[in-house]
Amino acid sequence: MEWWRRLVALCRPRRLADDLDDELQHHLEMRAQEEQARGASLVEARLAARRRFGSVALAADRSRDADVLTVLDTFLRDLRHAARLLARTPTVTLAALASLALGIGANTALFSVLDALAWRALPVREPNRLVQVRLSGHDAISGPAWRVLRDHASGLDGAFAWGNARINIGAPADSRFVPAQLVSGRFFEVLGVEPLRGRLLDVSDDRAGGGPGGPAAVISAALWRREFAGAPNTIGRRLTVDGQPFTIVGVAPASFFGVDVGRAPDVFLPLETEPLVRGRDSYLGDWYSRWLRGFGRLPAGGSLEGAASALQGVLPVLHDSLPRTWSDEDRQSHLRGAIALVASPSGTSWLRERYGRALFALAPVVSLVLLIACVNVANLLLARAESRRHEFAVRLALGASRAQLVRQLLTESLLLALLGAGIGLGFAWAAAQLLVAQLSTQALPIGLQLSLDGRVLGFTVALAMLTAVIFGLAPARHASAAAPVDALDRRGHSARRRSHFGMANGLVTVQIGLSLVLAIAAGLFLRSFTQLVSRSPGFDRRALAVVNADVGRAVETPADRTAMYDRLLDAIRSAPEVKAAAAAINTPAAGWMWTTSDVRLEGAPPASNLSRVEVFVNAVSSGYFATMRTPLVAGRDFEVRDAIRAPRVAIVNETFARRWLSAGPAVGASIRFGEDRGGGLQIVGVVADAVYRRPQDRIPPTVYLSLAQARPRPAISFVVEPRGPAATMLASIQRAVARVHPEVTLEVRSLDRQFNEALLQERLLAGVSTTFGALGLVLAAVGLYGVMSFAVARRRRELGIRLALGAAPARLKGLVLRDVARLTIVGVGVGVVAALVLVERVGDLLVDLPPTDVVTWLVAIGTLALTAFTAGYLPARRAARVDPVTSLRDE
Amino acid sequence: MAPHRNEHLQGTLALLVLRTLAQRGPLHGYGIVSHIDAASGELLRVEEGSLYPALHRMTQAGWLKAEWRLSENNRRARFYSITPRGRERLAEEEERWSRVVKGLSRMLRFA
Repeated sequence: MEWWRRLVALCRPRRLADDLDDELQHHLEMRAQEEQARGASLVEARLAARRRFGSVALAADRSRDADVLTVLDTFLRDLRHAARLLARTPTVTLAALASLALGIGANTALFSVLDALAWRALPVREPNRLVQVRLSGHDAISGPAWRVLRDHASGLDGAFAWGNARINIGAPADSRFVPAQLVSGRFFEVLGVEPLRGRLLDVSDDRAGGGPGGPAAVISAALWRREFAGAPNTIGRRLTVDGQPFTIVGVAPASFFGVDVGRAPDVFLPLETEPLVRGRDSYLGDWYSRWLRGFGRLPAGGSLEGAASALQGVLPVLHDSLPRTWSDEDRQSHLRGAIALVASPSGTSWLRERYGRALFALAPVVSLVLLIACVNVANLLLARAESRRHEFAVRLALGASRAQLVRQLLTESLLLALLGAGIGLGFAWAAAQLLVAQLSTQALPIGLQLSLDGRVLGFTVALAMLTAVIFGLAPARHASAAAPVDALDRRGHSARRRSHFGMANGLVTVQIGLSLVLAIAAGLFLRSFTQLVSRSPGFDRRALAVVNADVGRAVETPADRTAMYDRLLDAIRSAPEVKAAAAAINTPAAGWMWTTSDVRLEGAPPASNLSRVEVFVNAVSSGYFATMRTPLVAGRDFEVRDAIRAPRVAIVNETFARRWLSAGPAVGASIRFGEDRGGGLQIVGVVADAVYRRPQDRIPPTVYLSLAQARPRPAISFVVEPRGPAATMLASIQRAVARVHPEVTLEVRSLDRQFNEALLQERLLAGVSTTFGALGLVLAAVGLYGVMSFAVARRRRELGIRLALGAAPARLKGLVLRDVARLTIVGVGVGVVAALVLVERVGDLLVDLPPTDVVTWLVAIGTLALTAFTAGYLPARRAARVDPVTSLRDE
Repeated sequence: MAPHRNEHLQGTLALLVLRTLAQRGPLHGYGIVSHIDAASGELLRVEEGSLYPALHRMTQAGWLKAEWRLSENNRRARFYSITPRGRERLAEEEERWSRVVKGLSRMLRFA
């Protein structure tokens, strides 16, 4: 372990030096004593000893080299030297560190989010063997289909299914909704998860009505800490799920979140207990409700293809299991094609599907920021290398090798980069949390496990190394071009000084170009977002609150539900703080939609029927449009007389009327839903277009049904306009509803917030790219300022002579500004070309805006030009104020 | 005859040090020099400046072991002793050296 001893010696430099000194001194003393014994005086004896020994310093040095790891020793010496140099110019160092920390931090933050979201394998046993089962081209499967797979699938080493649910674990009056997952019996077993406490769910629990010990539930470690303070006696306690008693049998480990990345379920329930939880609205037995994900584990050493072909044996069983009442046609269309298996080591993720594209689009943005920061640091170092030219020349003249100089400079770069990365890591941690928090909404809270693990650290260190090379190369190359003969020149100037400016100018040009690309990207995202926000959604979103009520538990029959809607609406309207209220099955931007593609015009020739065009449907009470402030364009609103047994009526929006009813008056025409055997719907009114699902979408053709005539559902929403502050109104609504029926659960949010949450992706893109766009501009401005200041300082003599010869100060200013303009124009050219190549790739993320939107581009170029002019103006003014006398005397 | 400086005897320093330590047991640097001086009848003179780097190299290579002890003048001194690996090395060096000497003497006899 020689290297180990040498490393230890290196870590104790003082001890090493002292020991060596002792050893050599001892030798000299012994020799001197001997000389004295031969009769020499003390002084003579000592001199003789030194003469005989030779250079003590050299002997000590060479002995030391033998004792330590030489490579590391030189590196540490370089590092100490670099640290001293960096500390000597604190402003430059801080500026460099700040830009590097921001650049590296932003990249690390995005990396950690993308890694957690898309790249990291699930924290379960052998995630590489996990596969997802796709049926008839769908990712999701129905309950009955899962039961068939569970009982008859072969070729897989275990299969499981799960579905998401939102459950109320509080009392109905004090509702507390938490995310949950209904999981099949082998879920935990196949994933290979060990319980933190108690036990996990198994096959015996996965029975209708619960296992032998009654319905069992497993809770997350987070819920265990939050609700039960981590108490050991939590196991065995009761958990009320939507009013039904479950027994807590165990706690899942903290790192486990299931298979759906981005969701953090707090409760895991057996799949077959779904009817207990959902009551009459259970859809576990419905072939049409595809709400489960089926997963399996490939056998060890088995191939995806092998497992898939074995799995096809289930198809005939599936086919036979379809309801007997179905026609052959229905059977054919329900089970299409083969069963497919998709390797899914990272599980599935709604978050990845929804925001992955936008997050990946941010990757080039943050890398551009880092690149600009690198260029900046390169320029700072280059300027310093220029002023150290004399030092380099002297060192070369004294016998240092060029490799040593380059090594020294690269060590400096590396030190800067690593320090920057260290600071950036702290920044990244905060930024990643912020990014995730931005995407989290009330309806879909995000549970993404971000961690500063080895992968993230590795990425950061690799990034730091890379940046050190990028920004360290130019100064190092420059320094190695120093000539020993320059040492003779008093100031280290040489005839080749232009080379520095060539390089610095090139770097600044690149920097301007890159920041233009950033500015254009920021401008596009920002403009797309502001357009979206300022566009009228067709209703007044600011004033309204949305109250979502669940009446599923409170009433028995569907007909009673309709009556319950009326009673609730009356109760809400009677609350003193409520100005107006109306009921609707769906509210704008709520995140789900009700559509049909089979609408027909009555009495129209078949060619004009609307089949295969997706029409959006909603059912609303009377007063809905007035409360929403959506103008009624023609006809009338729904009225009390449009009751369940009255003639069926509908209201359509303008888009619907324009596209299919333009031939005659829309009001009075009749339409029919294909699957609906109940007869036609007479159109009684036309309303203005309003946003349905997402503000980004084109407003779809929409049909509104009378709430009283639509099929009742357990969930109903109310839009409420408050008279005063919303907070007091909510309490009073809650009281009013509780008086109607204590088991109706309520959830309230503002329509404005619901609307804004639908714009998260656009908001995120606009916010992040604008921040970085501004940062890029600032960095480019600093870079340009630095280079121009340095240029002016170098040209003081020339400027002084010009002034002395009678040049006007304004002309000198113009001289410098002309340089600024030249650099800017070339930079803008570079940037425009780069941007043209890059923006095409983000076109699909822009809403109603072409990526080559001229206004945005011109504004971006203008902003950049202004920034460049401002950055160049200060050095230019300094040039005009050069004092000819001092500048000439200085030389 | 002037004392012989060891630049003519490249590579023999290790041999001299190992031999000395094998024969005399633990010694400090000055002790090694004195022994070589005395044993060679002052014909071989070790360059003292080179001795210490060599001692440190040989210690790192595992041929020697170093420890701090009190020397005869009651001062802290570093004493070196030979290790089993050092003895193996000594045998190799002696073997190599005797071959060189044998070859040289044959050359001198028959040339």
